[in-house]
Amino acid sequence: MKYFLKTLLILLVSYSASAQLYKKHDWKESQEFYELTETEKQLPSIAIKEKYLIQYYQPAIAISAAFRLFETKHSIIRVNTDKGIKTHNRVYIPMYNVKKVIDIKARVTQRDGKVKVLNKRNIKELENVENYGNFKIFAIEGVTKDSQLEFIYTLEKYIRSIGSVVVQKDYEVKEAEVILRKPRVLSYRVKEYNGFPKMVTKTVEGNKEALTTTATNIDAMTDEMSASPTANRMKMFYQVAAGGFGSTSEMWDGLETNLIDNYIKIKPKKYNSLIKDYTAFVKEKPAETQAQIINNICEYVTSNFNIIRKRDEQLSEMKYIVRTKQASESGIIKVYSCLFNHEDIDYEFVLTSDRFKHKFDRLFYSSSNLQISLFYFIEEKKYIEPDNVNTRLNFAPPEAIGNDAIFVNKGGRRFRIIESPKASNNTIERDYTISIDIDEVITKVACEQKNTGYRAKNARGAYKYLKNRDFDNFKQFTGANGIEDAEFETFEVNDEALSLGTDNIPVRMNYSYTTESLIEEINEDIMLNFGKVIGTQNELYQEAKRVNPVELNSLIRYTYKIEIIIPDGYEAKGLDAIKISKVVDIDGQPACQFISDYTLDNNILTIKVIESYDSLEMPLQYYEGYKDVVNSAYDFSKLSILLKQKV
Amino acid sequence: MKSIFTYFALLIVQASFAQDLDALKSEYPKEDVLTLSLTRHLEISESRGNFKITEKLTKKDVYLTSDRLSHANESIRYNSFESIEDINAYTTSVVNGKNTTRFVKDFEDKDVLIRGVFYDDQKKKSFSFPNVTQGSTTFLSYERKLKDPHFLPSFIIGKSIPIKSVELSVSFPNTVKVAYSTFNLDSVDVDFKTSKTEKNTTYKWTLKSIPKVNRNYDFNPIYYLPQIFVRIESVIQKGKEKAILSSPKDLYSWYNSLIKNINQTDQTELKTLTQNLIEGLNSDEEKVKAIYYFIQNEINYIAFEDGLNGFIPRDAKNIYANKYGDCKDMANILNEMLNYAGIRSHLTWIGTRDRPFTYGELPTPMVDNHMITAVALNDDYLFLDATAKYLGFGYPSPFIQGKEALIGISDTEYKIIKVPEVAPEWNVTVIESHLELKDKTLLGHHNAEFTGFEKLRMLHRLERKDDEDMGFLQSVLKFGKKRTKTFDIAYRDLKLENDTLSIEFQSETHDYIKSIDHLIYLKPHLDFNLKSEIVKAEKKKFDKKIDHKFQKKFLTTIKIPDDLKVQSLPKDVAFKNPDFNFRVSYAMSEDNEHILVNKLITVNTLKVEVNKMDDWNTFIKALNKANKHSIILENTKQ
Repeated sequence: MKYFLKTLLILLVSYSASAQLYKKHDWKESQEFYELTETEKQLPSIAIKEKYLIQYYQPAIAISAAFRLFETKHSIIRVNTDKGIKTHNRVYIPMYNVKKVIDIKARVTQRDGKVKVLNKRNIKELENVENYGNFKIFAIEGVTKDSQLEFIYTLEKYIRSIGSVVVQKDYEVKEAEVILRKPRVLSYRVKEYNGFPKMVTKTVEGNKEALTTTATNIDAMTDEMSASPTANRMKMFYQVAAGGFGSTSEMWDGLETNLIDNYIKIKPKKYNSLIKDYTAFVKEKPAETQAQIINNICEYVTSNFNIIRKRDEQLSEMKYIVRTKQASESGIIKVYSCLFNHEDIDYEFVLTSDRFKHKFDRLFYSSSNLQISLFYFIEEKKYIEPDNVNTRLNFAPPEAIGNDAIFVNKGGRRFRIIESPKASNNTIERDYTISIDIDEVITKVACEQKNTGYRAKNARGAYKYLKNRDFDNFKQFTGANGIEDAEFETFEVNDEALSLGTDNIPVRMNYSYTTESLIEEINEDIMLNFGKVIGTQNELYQEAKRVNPVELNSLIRYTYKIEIIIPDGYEAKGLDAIKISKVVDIDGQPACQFISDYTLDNNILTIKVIESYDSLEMPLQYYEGYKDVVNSAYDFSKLSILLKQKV
Repeated sequence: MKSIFTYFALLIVQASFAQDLDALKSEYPKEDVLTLSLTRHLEISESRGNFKITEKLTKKDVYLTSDRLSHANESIRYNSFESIEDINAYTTSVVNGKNTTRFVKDFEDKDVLIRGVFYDDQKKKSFSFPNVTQGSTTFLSYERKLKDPHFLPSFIIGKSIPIKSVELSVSFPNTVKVAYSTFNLDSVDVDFKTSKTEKNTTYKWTLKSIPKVNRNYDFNPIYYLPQIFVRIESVIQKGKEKAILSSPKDLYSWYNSLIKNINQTDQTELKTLTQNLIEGLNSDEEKVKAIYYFIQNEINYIAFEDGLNGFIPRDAKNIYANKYGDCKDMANILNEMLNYAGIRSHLTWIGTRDRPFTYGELPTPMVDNHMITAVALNDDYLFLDATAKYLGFGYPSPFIQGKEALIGISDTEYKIIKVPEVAPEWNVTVIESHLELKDKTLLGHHNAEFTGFEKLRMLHRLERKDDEDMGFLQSVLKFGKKRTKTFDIAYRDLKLENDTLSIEFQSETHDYIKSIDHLIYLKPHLDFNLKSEIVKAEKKKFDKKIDHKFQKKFLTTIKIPDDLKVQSLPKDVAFKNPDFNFRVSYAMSEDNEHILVNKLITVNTLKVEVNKMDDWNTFIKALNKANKHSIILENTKQ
């Protein structure tokens, strides 16, 4: 989504010259073999130092377009184990935005002082790799356990005015130094995130001033469930511009103008063949409400235009798109705008970040803020996702909810949080009946299931894809996840149309299956593992010390009613364990809960369960409570009752 | 003139498709896209021993619905032996009531990243058909050109969409002898014809109604797809027949020509290193072991597939200096060092279990994809694969078991020998557990030992283990409940040289037992191996692949608490089958203070054939059922 970034321009004028910083930076001729502490020796690998040099450079004799940008990365890493070797002995250097490779070099030092320097002829090129572009790749030569590898590369990049450095990695970093240097004529602005130390002006190599900082002892980032570890990494973003900065507000102004001019003010009259084709397509479709019209447009676009996910200018040009029915992710936005304008629909175009990668920051303009595009319809309070091939009027996608965003229409912009659907609007409801055939030692499970919200959207998308390809798989993961021997007798799917998501009409799935695996014979009695019917549950029992606060994919509510028909001649025992109550309140509001209880009425045991998650984010101090709720659902899935033969 | 002809041809084609669309939709009601026709023709010409080989492909797809427009994004794979030329691609569709034809104008060359391969010479030409919607038809034609007669394109017929008709053919001068091998053609309707003129011969296969590739194969799809492999056996030059790929002998001769100039640099360092490694070792086996483990320890496997270099090992000295190599590099340095140690060893070509062919069936480079080192030791061959880090000495890697190995003995001599399948008794996991109840908590002291491929698997998992992965043992051993905490974990004998790896650990599981009235129900089986291995639905139609034969033994002793007595033990249970079986027994110790539970699971096959699938499922269900059995203890104080 970098194509939205046409707002910051560097004024290409020249003043005094300065030396290229990378020329002053090199590895030490005689490499020091760093000693590790006993704790560090236990790690697969550890970075002794990682250095990032970013220099906007201006040659002494300036000509037009004279600014140049050099970026140097220098890493010294101690490798202790085979896992460490595998993590570090292959280097991929992305060539995106690279004008020229200035230098790449690497060496490995052994404890005995032997050094193996990379043979540069072994550097290979990958060109135009799908979705990734070009790379320089090399395998570091001579790496063994207990060795120290080091590499430096300097790239000249095409000039750009924004960038970022992420210093927190999947491995521990003892020291990360970032230097950002520019000629006086340029100004810069930086923002530090997640504990990144404040950048300060210092004298650096070459006796020049630069903005710099050093972060020390950076923990490896842990990949945790229900969290956003990527967004939480220590990092800094920067902006560089000529002739003094406009305010952040002025930057958003630039974006707003760009969006209005290029993505919103699309005149339908200029694209008659598109309108004609669209009109023919929707001729027979109901169009009484605006929501129906929006969904008709979605259906038309998704079944007539192929989204091609690559950088190609012509794929975002309307004439080309209309002629070829092919569009890039940005091009398809224009098609939607054109059709909404044709139908005179009031909408806002929305840009935001993927909250699991970066939290939208309205106070600091960056490309990471602009990764997700949506259309918002004020009247319906719903969204569409233009680059989603199944899109219909619905909630915003989970990675965007709870996140700040910029909303733009012809009249201007506003910032607001993208609202999350409440748990009551994103539900799975299951009514089970379990009966037991004592003679055959088999259980029959019948279930009426209703999904709403994201769970309906996912089920509808999966059903559409799998119904003719792998319906067995759909049945298994929808109705009998974790019950390996389930043999389905019936499986019906109703209200599966994608457009029903607009009014949050549930998709209904009714099914029944038989299974032996819920039953264990114990002498003349039967142990019934009824909890297993709710499917495989996540659990957080074996967790290392939690690092990240809780951040959920969505708010959600599960409700289960399980009716167990007790066979004649048997009585149910061991019911107490069914009663579970775990509730977490934050500031007096329920954040999450798992509650289960039962009633026994003659030969019918009825178990009711509610599990809900009502707060998208929970601070670290509530993690233990959250964990108890998650684990309660897991414990419930393991519950059994004893059906004891009456004497 | 050509363009006018094309235009009229298009009109005729469009008219007939419009009529046929409804018929096709009713014939293929579950499909979104269909290949109506696919033709691939190989034209082989030869002059003074130089070959020109051209494959001409044409393909016509029709979109029955608009639910799979992404299929319009196509690509043509090729590698450094080939070039793709004269690509023509276009779409015909009806837009606003008019027939339109739109040509693809942009074809992008892209490098292909293949999972697990660091560098590969695979490339693709990538493009998208324009204007595609329901009812559209796309046309593609191109030529694939190559010169090396060893790399003829393979006719492997199968895609993610069905194909209505296929025509495959090869034409060659009568001075060239061409052979073909076919596989899995019995599953489709095939017609084969030969035609011969004074100068040329043509083989032609016509195949009808090829189903789409099934998603439920457990083995590589190549085991099932209809395939025709054409190969040039020989060519007549100056009145003499020159062999190319008529037999395994020719294949070996060519392979040998590729490796004859390797290791030409000064190898003194490697020779000295070898002598140091074997110093003081008396037997050949000790020497082989020392060198084998050295390579496993020192050289890291990194996969390269780089044109003809993909067939030629790098220089042994450089591999040692760089500390990395692909399979042929590791085979080469191992072979070279063994030779320096006076051991008879040989470079050996082999197809992994992903390649179902034998050298006799298919003497072409398609038959193999891997290189190892064969060592002549004690009147037998050992197959050493240094790419399988942690693989014990004497074991072939699991993925070459049962496959033919082409052992290069000398410039002219080779042997084809089948790699043995390793018996389950050599791949064993034993977990000995001492369990004790403390109130409702189950305490355990466990010792797990691993040999053979079980050890290999465990060491690979240990290598990748994250420090934060607290459930590692539970996950990798398939042992314990989610609520089970494991601690005091001691890994022993991690060195490659040890035959057995052992892991000792303690466990604690809260709320483990179920108390009802005065009875306590205790499940003595903590492991859940094979639990999810039931083969269901469509997958039952295809053989199940098993990585290696194995045994798992669980020897469990449960101390009976003072205030409890045994009310009942489950009955002993067994499932008998030569390929897969288990038995579980329960007994009281002689002093009546402990319950002894023994379980032995054996899987003695590398595949479960379709006709045995019901037996397999019965085996898994019986095992799962046995794993749930409970011991009933009675509280003596109530």
